[in-house]
Amino acid sequence: MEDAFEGAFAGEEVSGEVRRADAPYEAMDGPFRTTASDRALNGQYANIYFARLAKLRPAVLEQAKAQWCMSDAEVGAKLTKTLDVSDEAEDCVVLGTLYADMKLKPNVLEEYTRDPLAPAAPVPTHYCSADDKLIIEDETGRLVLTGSLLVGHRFVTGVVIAARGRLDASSAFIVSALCEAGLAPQPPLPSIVSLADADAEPRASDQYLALVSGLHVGIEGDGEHMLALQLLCDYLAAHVGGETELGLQSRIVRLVICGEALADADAGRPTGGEALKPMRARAQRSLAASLQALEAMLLPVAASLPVDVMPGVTDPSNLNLPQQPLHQLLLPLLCRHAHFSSTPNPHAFSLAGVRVVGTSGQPVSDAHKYHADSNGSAGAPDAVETLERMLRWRHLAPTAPDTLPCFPFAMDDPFVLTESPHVLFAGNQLRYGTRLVKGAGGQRVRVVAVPSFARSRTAVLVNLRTLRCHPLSFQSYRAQP
Amino acid sequence: MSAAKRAGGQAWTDSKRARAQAADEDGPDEDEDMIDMDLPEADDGPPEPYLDDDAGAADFVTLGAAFMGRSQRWSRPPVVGLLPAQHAISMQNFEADYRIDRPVRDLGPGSSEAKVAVLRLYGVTAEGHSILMHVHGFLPYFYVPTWPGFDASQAAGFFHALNNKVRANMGRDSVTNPVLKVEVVRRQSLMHYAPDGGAFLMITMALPTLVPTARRLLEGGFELPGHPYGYAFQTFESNFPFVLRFMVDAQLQGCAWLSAPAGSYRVRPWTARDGGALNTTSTCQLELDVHYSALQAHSPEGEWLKVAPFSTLSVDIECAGRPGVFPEADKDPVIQIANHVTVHGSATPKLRCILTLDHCAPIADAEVLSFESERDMLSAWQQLVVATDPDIVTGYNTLNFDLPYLINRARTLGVKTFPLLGRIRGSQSLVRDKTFSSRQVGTRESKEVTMDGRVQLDVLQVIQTNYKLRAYSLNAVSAHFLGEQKEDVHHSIISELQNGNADTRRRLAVYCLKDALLPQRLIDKLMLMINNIEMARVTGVRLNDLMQRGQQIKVLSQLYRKARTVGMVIPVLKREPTGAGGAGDVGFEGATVIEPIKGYYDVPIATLDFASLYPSIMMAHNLCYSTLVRRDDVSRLPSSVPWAKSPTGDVFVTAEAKKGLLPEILEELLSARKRAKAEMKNETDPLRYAVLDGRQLALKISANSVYGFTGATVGQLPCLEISATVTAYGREMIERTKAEVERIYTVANGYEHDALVVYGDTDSVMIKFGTADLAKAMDLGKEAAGKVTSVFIKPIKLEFEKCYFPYLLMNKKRYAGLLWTGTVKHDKMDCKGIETVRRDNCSLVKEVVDTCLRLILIEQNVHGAVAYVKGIISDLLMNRIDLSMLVISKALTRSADAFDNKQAHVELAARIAKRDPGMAPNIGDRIPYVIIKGPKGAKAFEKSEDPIFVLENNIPIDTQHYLEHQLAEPLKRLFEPILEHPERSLLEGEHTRSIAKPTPTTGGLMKFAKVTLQCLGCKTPLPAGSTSVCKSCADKEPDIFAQKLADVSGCEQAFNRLWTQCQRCQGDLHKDVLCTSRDCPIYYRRKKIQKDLSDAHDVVQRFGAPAW
Repeated sequence: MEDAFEGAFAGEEVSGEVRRADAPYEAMDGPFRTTASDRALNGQYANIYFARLAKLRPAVLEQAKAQWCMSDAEVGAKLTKTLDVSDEAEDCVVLGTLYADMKLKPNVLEEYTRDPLAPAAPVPTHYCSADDKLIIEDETGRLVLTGSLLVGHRFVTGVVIAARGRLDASSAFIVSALCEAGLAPQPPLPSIVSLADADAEPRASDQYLALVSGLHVGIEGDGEHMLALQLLCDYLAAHVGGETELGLQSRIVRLVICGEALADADAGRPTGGEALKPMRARAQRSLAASLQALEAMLLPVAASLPVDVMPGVTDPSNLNLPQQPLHQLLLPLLCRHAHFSSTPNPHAFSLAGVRVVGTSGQPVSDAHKYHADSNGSAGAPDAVETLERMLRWRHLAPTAPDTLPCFPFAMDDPFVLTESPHVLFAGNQLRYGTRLVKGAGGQRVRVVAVPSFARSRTAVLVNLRTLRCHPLSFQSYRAQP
Repeated sequence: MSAAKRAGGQAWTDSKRARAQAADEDGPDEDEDMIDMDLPEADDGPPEPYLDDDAGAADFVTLGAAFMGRSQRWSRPPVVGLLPAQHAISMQNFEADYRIDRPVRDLGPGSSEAKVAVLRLYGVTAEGHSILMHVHGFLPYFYVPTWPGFDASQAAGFFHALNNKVRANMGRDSVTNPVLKVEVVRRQSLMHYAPDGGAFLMITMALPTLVPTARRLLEGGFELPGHPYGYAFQTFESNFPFVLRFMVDAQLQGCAWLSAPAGSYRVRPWTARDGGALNTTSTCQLELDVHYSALQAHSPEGEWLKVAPFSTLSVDIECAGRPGVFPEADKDPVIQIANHVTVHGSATPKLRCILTLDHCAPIADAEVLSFESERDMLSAWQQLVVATDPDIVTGYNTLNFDLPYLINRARTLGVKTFPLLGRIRGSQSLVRDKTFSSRQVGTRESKEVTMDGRVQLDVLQVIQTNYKLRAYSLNAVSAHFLGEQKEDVHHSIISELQNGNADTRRRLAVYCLKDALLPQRLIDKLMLMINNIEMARVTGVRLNDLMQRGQQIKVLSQLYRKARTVGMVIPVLKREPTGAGGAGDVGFEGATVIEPIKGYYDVPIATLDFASLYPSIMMAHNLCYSTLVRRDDVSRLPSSVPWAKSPTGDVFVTAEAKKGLLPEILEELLSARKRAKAEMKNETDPLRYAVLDGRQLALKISANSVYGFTGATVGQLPCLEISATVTAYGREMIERTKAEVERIYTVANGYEHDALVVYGDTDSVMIKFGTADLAKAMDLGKEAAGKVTSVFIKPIKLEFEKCYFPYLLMNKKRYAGLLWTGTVKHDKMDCKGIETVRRDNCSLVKEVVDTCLRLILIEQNVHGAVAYVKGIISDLLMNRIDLSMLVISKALTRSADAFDNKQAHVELAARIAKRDPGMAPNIGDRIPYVIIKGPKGAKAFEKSEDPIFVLENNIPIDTQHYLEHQLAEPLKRLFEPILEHPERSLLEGEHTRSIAKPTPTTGGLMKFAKVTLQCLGCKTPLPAGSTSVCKSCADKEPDIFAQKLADVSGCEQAFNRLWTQCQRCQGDLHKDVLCTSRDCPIYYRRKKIQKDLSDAHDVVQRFGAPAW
């Protein structure tokens, strides 16, 4: 275990007994708990794009004015609908939703017309190929974007931006400048939070939020993993460790399990063409056993620490974002616990006045498929970078619905970040990572890539006063005598 | 000028007129020296376009304004600096016709009559200028043989007699002397062998329209001087169209280049010596007069292989129909007209433009012209056609829909200028009904729209003629050839979009533009223009003849051209009455088929083909009209003339006695094809390569159509002796080949196995040499081809081309196999006669048959195929097959009353109309349906239902019907050579015993049924109050729940992928998908998944909402 906190944490001792601190908590999941009427299952996806563009247009426009030092009148004069952009105009601004035109995106039509006996093409790890195009679209039409500014760009479908430039001979739009929405305004931090450097050192009174993902309970025969899981739970429940640890442990005020608490119960999870056939029964026995194991593991934790569980790709929830909370039927014992809550994914809450929003990681993983170098190779954007972009795009899941399933909402796009949170996280990432993102308006957002525990044996503590992050590794336990 | 008061359109016209006048005043004589012209002048053209004085609200386009500033860009490049005295002028000829006019003798000799036929040749120069050439001095003529006892002195008497008789019988086109000349010439009849020719009378008439009159009089018994009774002449070459007659005599091929040398022509306007003014008559850029004798036609070789930059206009219209009625031109308005103009050889379109009724938001790469009144829009379109001056007018189903609709609509609205779509000013485009029959396409009723000087190419008709497809909707055809689905907007939505706002109309406009673009892309992709131009060049007919006539005119044109060079004349045969007793039904055996030895062959089957079988038989045996000896004459043939008796007993003289015309034509075609192919090898320019490829294809098709021409009993020149002889030789050769192969390749002769001919058809034989080694079988095949060829007369040649391995021989003309031309990898799977293209099969049949063939042939896994079939049958009976695979569709051709037998799709159309008149199908629509379970004994036609209705109401499918009526037969045929009792092993057994019976949500007894929830685990009815599982399943509730969740996830993923795919196809994220293309594999699935997803969510809801 890391010793970064040594000496910093003295538990609040009250007559020889250490009591866990508690912090005010408020779930803010309203937009992500869908009702039957929101889901609009008979509807189509155009409405989401429409709502997204309408919601983000004013912000992007404001940002464009600031970034390009233009007055209202100037912007008004240059802002052009994609359709009205003419060959003559030397410098115009278009504002719309990006669409990445990529041949390698899974194509359901090809799957239907494919020769049924030909071997299925391997599922590509990304969607990129040589003739990909980035297109900007508003209500009136589309323009293909080109220009050196776009070389190595990190845009994905669904991002709302403004682009400045002119048409070239082939009617493509040569971009001379781009403008994103930028960080959304942020509610003030509670007064106890201080981001001044002098205060950055942890204090004994600091409270922590624990984030963990990818527990993958139910992987059979992996003793090492089970041991690490047990240690994690014991640690969180303050069943292990000396006084130093106890001091820290008692300051953890909430645990959020951000997705993939359960192992993939069914290896034949929808992929490729098979997805469209009705799924056969999952490996039921392993699911039931996994659920029981998860309950057994979390019950002692939940006894002393409030726990939120978000569903992830491998969990028994639906697939569309927002994924709906795990049903009480599945975890009947935990659900009686006052300290336990099952939340949707994405999950938003306020803890000790700190606004936290996060997902189980699907939007980040999907966004990475838009870039060939994103699958872990050196120099690739990591989850932290992608999360930062999402903040600047003011959107939690821009690639939904294009390549990421979500509900066909009729009236709204719940994934638009109308406010910047103080903490933004994504679960189930390859590596741990964090960054403090600063906005032009003084916003400070702690961005956290929560690694998959099954892969990294790492959980993350977020200091709710300094917003600093501390990885907690359970890796080395086994090696120690 | 009053222009100031008027709307812009008028002003435009007036200013043009002013310019024209100014030009006249500047120097009326200068046109002799230097001619600069841009747009054709409209002075004495059509009346002024219709104009409302107060038309032209601020942002609607007024008529003329629409074209102000645009006309320059739209029209052709201007003609600059032409000096008729110094410059020859050359053009590629695309269309030709003639008109009756007064004679012009300044340029050369001609008829003495006051009325003559003047040919009009329309063409395009290498610079892209449009030209109309008036060709003077060519006169119509025909032949009759002289009568017994004729001597030259009688010719004059005959001339006068005929002249008087015709004059007395002239109709509208009267002249002083209808017959201009009668000459005695030596000619020979094409029909029947004769050692040499005889005296014929060549009769030159004043007008082409008088030729039929003269023919009728001559054929019907003509009183000859000195003959007591009427003499019935047989006429020769009296029914050949005048324009083609001219092209033959001028040696002008179709789409060929021709030149008028410097000084030989006059550019209009000019004044003739007799004082007659020759003004322009057309909207072409240049009009000139030239004498027939001065014209130089270029044979399409070398430099003249090139293709001029002709321009093509592709059109699509949208109409706002009323619910349930196919748009009718007298009631429903045209709301949009999309236009796409391309110039040959240029990659980018010259013009993309849409005319819309009411405002329409702008479109990125197209010009949008919005009109307040439909009449203005129609007028504007006519002006657009004139301004862009296309050589080719195309579109999809334009001949039967778009153009007639526009013309009829304009008539209803009284837009008088509208029908002036042709190049000749003041000549109206007319809509005519036409019935067209040919052996190739069957009888087809269609419409014809005349458009002087322009070629019409309806891509739908061309594709229907040349390709066999499962469906011919623009969507299906584009998907097939261009590999892309197109958005298909249902006609019930069109009115809705039109009645919306500028943005919804824009939506429609984008769709309409795409529909105008796709025909052009099909033309490019399938090389339709290049191939047709080459066909015109090879066969010597006009493009319009290719589009609007059958195969015969092509052969006839070649025959006329050939006959002319050797002094032969072609008789006009009286048509034999068809039917019983007619020549057409006399025992005329088809091609032979060697009885197939059915089976599944897992050794290589070598295939030997006769190269160009029928043409080579005709060449080998010198079969022709002119070598056929009349049966009665056989005995009278001098012994010096060598002849041969064909298997049918017909006698033809051999080539030593007299070379036949048909064999000569065929030899020329085939050697020209060889030349074209050789040139292709050295050609580096892709455009010229494409032209040569089109040519070799045209040559091949032409060679093969000669045989059909002689056998066409309703044709111009049927000669069943020839066609029957050809097939008889063919049969004999197939039999002979079989005998030779089986005689040579035997164990007794030292080969490993006895060879066996397992099947033979028309021009190929399939041989099992017995060896399992592919390379060896190929060697034997090559060797056998050589050996057998040597027993036949040249140029008959047997070729080894391919092996089938393995080979599944089901029946006559029904087989499948992997085709190998090399030994490394098979080329493809070749299937013949397996009905996977028929639309009255559901796509499940196609998929099952295809998959089975692949399993059997490629995987060579018969057990796998059987297992697969059983799996599919089980899935079908368990209702696990996707509904879209079960959809059958048929076109609604007439209303229900017109059918004697009740048909499923017709009945369904009537039911839909009753249910929702707005959705009622129109005549011509394809009606998709599925067969649903009906009451016992219900007829099939009562059990058809709309697939969408079935999805929405959970109506059970009659899976048994699909098994028995759709799958059973093809499967039986397929497996017959392989399994002993295909029926028993495939269609009966364990896998057919589980049957799913879904509960319908509407209809019949369901009205009285009360829905009781069932346990989601074990399906026992649940007591009131519980919604998810029963007591005994309570333990398993989490599992059952998780399973239902998995269903939800599966549906969600499918939903996402299907609907995002449709968004990608439509190319728009912010607008709903409207497409209703029933040919797209996504359409039903997309609809079904909405339903499935809702259902899956509803089921999950029964466990209660998550409450934490």
